[in-house]
Amino acid sequence: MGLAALYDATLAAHPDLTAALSPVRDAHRQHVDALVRAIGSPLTTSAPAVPSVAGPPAQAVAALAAAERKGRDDAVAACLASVARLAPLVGSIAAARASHLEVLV
Amino acid sequence: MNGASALAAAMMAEHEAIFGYGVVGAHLDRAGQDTARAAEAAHRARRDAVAMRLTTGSSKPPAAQPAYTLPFNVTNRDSALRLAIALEEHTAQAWRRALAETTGDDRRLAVEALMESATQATRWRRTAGVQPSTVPFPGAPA
Repeated sequence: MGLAALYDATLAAHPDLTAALSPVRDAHRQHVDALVRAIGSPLTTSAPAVPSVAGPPAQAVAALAAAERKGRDDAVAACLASVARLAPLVGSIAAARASHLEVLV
Repeated sequence: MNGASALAAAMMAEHEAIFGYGVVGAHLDRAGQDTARAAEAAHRARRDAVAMRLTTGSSKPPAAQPAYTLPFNVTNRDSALRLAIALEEHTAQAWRRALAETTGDDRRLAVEALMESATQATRWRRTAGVQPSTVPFPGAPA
């Protein structure tokens, strides 16, 4: 499950989080769009186990934070391995994911 | 622009941020001053790391100017927080540009600096009540 889809599922289960988290969800959508445009082909994403989003809000937010942390680390690794042309975009995505952790408190 | 000149450009942005934080802190409460001090320390550490990297690569690190012209007057808490956000956005832009020009350890330094500036900008936006507190592409040209 991609990060945007994980936020969709979480916001569906916890509508009270919509105001706080929909900008972050939208950012993840923009990241996918930008990567598809830059690479010129659809992304192939692995499908990690879907965490439960139905628990208490604090638990759902903690699951999002864990996913953002892994996503940040994955993006850093991808940035370091990337061709020069894509490094700024992928680095920006890593930085966005890092900044999302400030919102998930 | 090659790797060394990209690092030098980012170092100049770090000099400017360190100068700017000297202005920011004076207009904040105790908690804000603590945050500003921590952010300034992070920029000093980054500046020193870049200087060492440039020196090791036989490039001359750019010196700080005695003073910098700030983008607007800082007269109170609101304008101080706006400046803090602007300082972090400015360094984020310099580090993002450096990503395309660097490889290996230099690129790692650049991406870590970009993440730190983006994160600190978000902290300041939250302090200032700016919504949303995140941007989709930190460091991207406006």
